[in-house]
Amino acid sequence: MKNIFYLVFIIFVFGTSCKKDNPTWDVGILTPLVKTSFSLKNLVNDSIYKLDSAQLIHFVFNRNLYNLSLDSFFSISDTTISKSFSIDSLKLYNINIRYPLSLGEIAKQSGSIGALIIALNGNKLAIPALGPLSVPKVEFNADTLFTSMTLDDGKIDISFNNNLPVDITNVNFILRNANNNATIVQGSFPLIKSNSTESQTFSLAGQTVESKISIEVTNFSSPGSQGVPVLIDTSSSIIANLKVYDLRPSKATAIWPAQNIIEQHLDFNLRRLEVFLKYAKIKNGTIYLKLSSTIDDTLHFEYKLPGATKNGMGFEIIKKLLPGTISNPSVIYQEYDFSGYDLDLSGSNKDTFNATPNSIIVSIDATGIQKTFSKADNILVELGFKELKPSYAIGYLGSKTFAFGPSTVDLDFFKDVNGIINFEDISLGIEIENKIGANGELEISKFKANNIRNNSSAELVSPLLNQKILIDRATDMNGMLPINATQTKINFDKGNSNINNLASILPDNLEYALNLKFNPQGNISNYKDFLYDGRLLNVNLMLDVPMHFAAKGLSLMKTQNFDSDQIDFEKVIDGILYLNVENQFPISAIAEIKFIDDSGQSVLELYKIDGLIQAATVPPSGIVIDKKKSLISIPINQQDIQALKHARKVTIKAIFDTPSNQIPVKLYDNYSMDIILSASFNYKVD
Amino acid sequence: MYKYFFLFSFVIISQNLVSQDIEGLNKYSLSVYTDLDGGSQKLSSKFIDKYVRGGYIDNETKDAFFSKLESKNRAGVVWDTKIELKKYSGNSDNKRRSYQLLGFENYYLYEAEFTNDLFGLYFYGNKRYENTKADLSDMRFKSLKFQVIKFGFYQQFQRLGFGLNGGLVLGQNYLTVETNKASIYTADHGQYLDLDINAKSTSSDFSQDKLFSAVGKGLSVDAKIDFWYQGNSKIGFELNRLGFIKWGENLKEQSVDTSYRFEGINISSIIDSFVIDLKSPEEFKDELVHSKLSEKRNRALPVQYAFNLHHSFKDEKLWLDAKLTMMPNTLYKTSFQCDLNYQFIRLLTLGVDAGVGGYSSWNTGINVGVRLAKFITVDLKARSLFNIYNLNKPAALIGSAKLVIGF
Repeated sequence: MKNIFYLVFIIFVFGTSCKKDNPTWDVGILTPLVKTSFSLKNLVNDSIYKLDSAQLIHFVFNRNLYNLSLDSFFSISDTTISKSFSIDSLKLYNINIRYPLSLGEIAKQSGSIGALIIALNGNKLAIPALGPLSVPKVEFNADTLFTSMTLDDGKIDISFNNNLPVDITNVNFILRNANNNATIVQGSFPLIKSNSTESQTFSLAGQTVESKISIEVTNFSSPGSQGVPVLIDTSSSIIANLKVYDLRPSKATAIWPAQNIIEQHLDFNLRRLEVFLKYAKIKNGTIYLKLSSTIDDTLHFEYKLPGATKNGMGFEIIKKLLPGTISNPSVIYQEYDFSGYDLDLSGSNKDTFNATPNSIIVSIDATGIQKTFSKADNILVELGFKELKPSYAIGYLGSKTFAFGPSTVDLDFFKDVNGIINFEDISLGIEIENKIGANGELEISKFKANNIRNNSSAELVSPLLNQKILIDRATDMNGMLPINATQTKINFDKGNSNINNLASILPDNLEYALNLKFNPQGNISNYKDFLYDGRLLNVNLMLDVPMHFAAKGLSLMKTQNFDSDQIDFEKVIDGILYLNVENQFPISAIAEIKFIDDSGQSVLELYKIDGLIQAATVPPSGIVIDKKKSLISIPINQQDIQALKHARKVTIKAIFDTPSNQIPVKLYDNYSMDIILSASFNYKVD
Repeated sequence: MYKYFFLFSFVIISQNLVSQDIEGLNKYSLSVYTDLDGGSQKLSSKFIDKYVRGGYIDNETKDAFFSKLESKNRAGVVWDTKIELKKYSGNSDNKRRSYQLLGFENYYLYEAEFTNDLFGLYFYGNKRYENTKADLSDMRFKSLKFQVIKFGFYQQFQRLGFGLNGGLVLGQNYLTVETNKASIYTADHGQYLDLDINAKSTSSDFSQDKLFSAVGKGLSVDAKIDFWYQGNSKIGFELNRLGFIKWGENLKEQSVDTSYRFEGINISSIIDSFVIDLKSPEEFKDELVHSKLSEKRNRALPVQYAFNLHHSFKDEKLWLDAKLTMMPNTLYKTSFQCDLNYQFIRLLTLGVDAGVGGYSSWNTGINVGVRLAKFITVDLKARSLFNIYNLNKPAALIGSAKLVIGF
């Protein structure tokens, strides 16, 4: 507006230089400063504010004291099995050698008698005693099976099958490596009767056996036919049989047969569990596998957890491990998602807990060619569960006791309330919602209200304290949701406790201590306890405070922003503040106003302002409809006005007193006190 | 004392005389001409004097003025300055000579129509309006500033003469603010203020408002026709500033149409923001004011129609000038100005003025014409001198000054 006049009449100024100063004049400004409303609805969060059927206000304070988590019940520790397998678990092919020694060849070494025997082939002859005789060494070559093997263990069976018509005696033999003539086995048979077989077993432990072997019968004799003519058949023979078996080489260069070099079927035990689980559904988790091999051949790895199924399929890992060496082992590391698997934890025989059967098989194919494996070669198998989290579990959950507290829970809705207040009909409820398939036993040992502003406290007294209260187990649909949770509620009211006293100190917090023990009677479910992750047990506190009370000096306070920049207080000459109040509460009040600067310091305090905010009149219905208007004028001087320059917030406090007869009043939903702080300023404009 | 000083200052800037015109006596003439036409129906010179010169405005002064205001009040001023170079043709003894013209014109217009409640709010505060609605409806304000570079000619045919100028217009400043329905209600004890407003404004880019800057460009035409019915006596008709300015792309339209309850806002801030620039308080602007670039950027110039009469009596020592002026599409009401002049000696002419209309309601004043040398004349007209000297009369600021150099 000023600018308009200035623009219009700037021309006047154009020709005048006699302007002395800016024009000034006084104006009367009426302006609202702050508007606020006290209603109990605005004083607290919607979640606290409740109404009963008569629209009486209740402050219902709900707090979750404890949310039992599955982790607090148990957790599955990471579990690993690690095993190193060496070559002594390997097998080699058995070796069989057969060498026949005919009568004709024996006769050739027996001089004239031998010649006679040869001559009478096909005729009967009483064979005289023969010997001692020997048979030249004979070499055998097994290099199609192996080149050499150094054995930690092994066996060789040497047998002689005497098909001659006479007995033989004192048969001495030596088995040697052909190349270095080292003796492998040496032995003798005292008597081998005609048409019979004698056998001896020798250990090969510590022996090095090469592919070229020589066997030599160094001595044998025969007593002859004892004068009895026997049919001479020069083709009849003594047959030597060598069977090498059960070889456990410490090092061997050989053709290896296809074989399982590791084969184990064991229960995998989950360690350090505090519960006894028969079954778990895995929400998430990982199985990891690490394989390392120095064997110069491809390994086939097969791992199975038959107790772990998902969509009807068992869990298995099949991997191929490439050939490695001692200096450069072949290694595989891989992780597998184990989420969503159903895990049977009752063991191989369904008679235990926390255990699931598993099998590890490591095999090689037949090598076909000779390969050298030594005892230094090994296969490392490391397999484990990581961070297994079940979503559901069945078993016996044990008799664990949980302590909720001692702890405190804040009650912030009393923080703006001061004065002496006597509540009626307070109730404090403890509600346990049990979604666990196990019984429990609750014991409440303490409740205490604390007002930290005036350092007062009050402790709950009730016969319900320190009593064991049974909490029934939940049920489900045979392993399926939904859960039928059980609700157990313990209520403290003025009939069984001094709870009204606790509320009347306007507490800032409640101290509490509770104990909850599961399965107080042991494993009565026979491993049928259950729990679902995220659906366990909640302990809730509910404090119901009906707005039915008698009060003295009860103060409600509100702080609002105050934008003093909107008014140029330097130009305010004097003024009056107006407190315009429309009160629907049936309680009278006095007001206090405090202006606060940026630093929180009070710059102007208007205490116990003259003039009463009048109580609304309660009609016969008991519910106030019409608001009572009050106007309170507060003259302010120049000093007050200058103080207002620095104000950034204003706090308005209403201090209520119920009538002197201390009859409790009831506050209903629609009650409010509307306050407008306005001002009339005489203002100098320039 | 200040009255005389004020009077003197005003005379200095006053208006033209015609009779002593030396134009046409030489081959060329250079004239500097300034014309001021301002005033208000109801604003008194005394109040404006107080407002402009400063000092304390007491309630008695405000009351005296406020009581005279009507529900709608006008105020405005037009300030038109021209520099023209003319080249004449024909016989120099003939005053009715043809000429060619090269000129420059600088033009300002400010005008406002406002309610008495606006004045009341501003000078008394809203306390005066407790439980009452202060009416701010149908107010308007307009400011315009531009220059014209013009070329033209004036041609004589016996008793008839006509002229035509064409010009390039450079616009610097354009602002209109209009309220349709607007009011401020102050509740009992100032518990709240209700602002009910439907207003719009159009504004050019003020940041570019410099002399000769071309925030807007346009064309302008002036035309005139004269008829000499006897000697140097003539009647004529003028058409001035028929044209337009096309403002730049930043021409902005703002509008507000809302009812708003203020609970904690200083009333003086509301008035400032509402009337002038709709800028503050920020909350008001951001939430309620809708702003957009104007799609139609052409705006008409304030065209003026005028009928002139110049009648000389015997010996041409006494003459009468009369002018009927109309400016449609502005708040300027049709005005009639009349003056009677007498040349006492060759060097001095004196006259008296009277008029009605325009931005003021009436005005009276005097004229002075001085011929300083053969080819230099200064003509001054203080048509509203009486209004200024009598401070309780309606404010009027009408006058002109003219300097002509012939060569």
